[in-house]
Amino acid sequence: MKRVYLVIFLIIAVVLTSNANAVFWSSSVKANSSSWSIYRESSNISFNLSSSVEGKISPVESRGRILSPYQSYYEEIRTNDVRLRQRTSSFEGSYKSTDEIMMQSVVYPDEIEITVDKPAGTDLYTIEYKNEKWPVFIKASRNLDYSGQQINNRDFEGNNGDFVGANFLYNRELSKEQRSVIWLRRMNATVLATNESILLAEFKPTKYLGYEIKSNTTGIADLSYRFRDSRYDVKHQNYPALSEGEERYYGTYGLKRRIEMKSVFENSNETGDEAESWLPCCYAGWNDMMYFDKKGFGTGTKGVFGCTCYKRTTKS
Amino acid sequence: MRAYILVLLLAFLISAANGLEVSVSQSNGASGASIAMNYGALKDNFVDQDIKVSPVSGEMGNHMSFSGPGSRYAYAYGKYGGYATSGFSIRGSKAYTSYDFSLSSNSYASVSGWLNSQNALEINAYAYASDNKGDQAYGKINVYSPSNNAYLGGYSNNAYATSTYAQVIQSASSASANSPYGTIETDLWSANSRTTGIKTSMTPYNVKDFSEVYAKQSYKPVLSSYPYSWTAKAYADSSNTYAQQGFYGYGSPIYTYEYAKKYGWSALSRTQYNYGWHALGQYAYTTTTGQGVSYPHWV
Repeated sequence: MKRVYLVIFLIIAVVLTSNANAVFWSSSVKANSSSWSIYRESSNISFNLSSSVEGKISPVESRGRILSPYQSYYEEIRTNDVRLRQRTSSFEGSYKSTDEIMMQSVVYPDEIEITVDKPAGTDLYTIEYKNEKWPVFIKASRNLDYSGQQINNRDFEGNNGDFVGANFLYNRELSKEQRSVIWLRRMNATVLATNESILLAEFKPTKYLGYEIKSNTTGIADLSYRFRDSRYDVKHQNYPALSEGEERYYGTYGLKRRIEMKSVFENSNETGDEAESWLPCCYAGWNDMMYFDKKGFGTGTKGVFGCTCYKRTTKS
Repeated sequence: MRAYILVLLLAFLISAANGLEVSVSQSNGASGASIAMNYGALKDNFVDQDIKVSPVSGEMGNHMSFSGPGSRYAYAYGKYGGYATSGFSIRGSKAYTSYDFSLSSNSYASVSGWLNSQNALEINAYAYASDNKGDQAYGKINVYSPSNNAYLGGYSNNAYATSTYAQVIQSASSASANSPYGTIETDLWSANSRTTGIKTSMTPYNVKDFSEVYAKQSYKPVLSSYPYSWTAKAYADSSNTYAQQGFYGYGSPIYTYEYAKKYGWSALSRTQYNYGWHALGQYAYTTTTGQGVSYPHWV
């Protein structure tokens, strides 16, 4: 095995906040006693990364001083509320990692349509937000093997309120294989309100988050996920969870987890092929992946990447 | 100054329309645009609105019709500067209003509005523009009838601003307020400021040079389209201010006022009354070398 004695720092950041090409729109609905708001931001960008690191984290002498052995890895990708976040830091030991990231974000020029309707004879306003086609697709994998003094590793995958996260802290031995596929296709929203209050607000992104992790840990392991409700809790001003979980393990464990979260909302403006023609789902299918992409994942993850296209159920 | 009083009145009219508020903003990084709407519809009123948002192109459009009270405004910032806004407010539970606007936030800022409203207690519509140097232009019309028959038809306005130029124009095919206490007020002003930077407050703050024309028609007033339809324009740049309007209408009386003030000089102002049907032209200006107002030309 080739050994490299060095201090490792790696920083990856694709954050649209500072991107001059970013576009955004926002809206708020304010009644006398309650309010609701939405903020959307995206950009036309693509990002691909492939990296491999293998070595021994060791002290380094520089200008007569001994630098403590240290390794650090920072990764942050965020667009249209789709997030991928990784942090790793470790002390002296042997370290091996491979990373693959493929990301694409598109802002289609289609007009976003907002309608406000209140018929005479009722107090009810219906505000509809339709036709936001700002899709995002992220496919990522990270393999990690460490043995040494101590390693801390955190990952977070988020998609418009849904998330999966894992923290591995104070590990002397850690091996981890992690795969994730995240896509966002379109977004609709609906608000029902009177002059006095917001009665109902629904945030309806059509989205998917697939995540698989296999790990052997020797320290603290935290695993968490959250699948968010599309309905807004007006009283508490947030979106409650439809399903969520938090787990913590101290000791030596082998942990495997696979999570898939998917929300599909009809878009009245799309019919037939148009509804199925966009990139992520079909493109992300296992059979469409290049050989080199498949090679890095192993056949066991076929299910995660084989996200078949959504098909409308036919009413009999 | 009259403009301050009118701005306060405008603020009161907007705040008077309590109810559901919806605001929408967009930006493509360099320029941005926003609209805000206060509905305040009563149970028997309806609202039908369709807004098109396109952050990529910097364009935004809207069509709406509604009954009862309400207020809307839209504004845009240009890529290289300039601020433009257009809006209106309606009072009266029996009012029926249709409104369109389009706005553009590219190298310049531009907001255009089209309004038709009838059976209202009060109709107030305005446009305002400011450039990066603090030059401002403002135009408005107010139609008031305690008999709830205020009418404004074929009204359109445009606020336009670049980094160094601010302009508003407005016109209407007709307006009326068939009440002994009915009034139609039209007002335009433009100003240079002593402080640079875009202004958004619609007040001639720190005024350097200033031009204004104002007319108020009373007692069953009518703004007609024949033989002359109402048109109005005000603009300002670093060395000029200008305000002008012409109309044909009825009032008893028609009160007119023109005002020009060049910084460091004494102000010029004219006021006049006339009765009955008349065509009228009025303007006020300042340049680098002087100032002037027209004696109203009555026909």
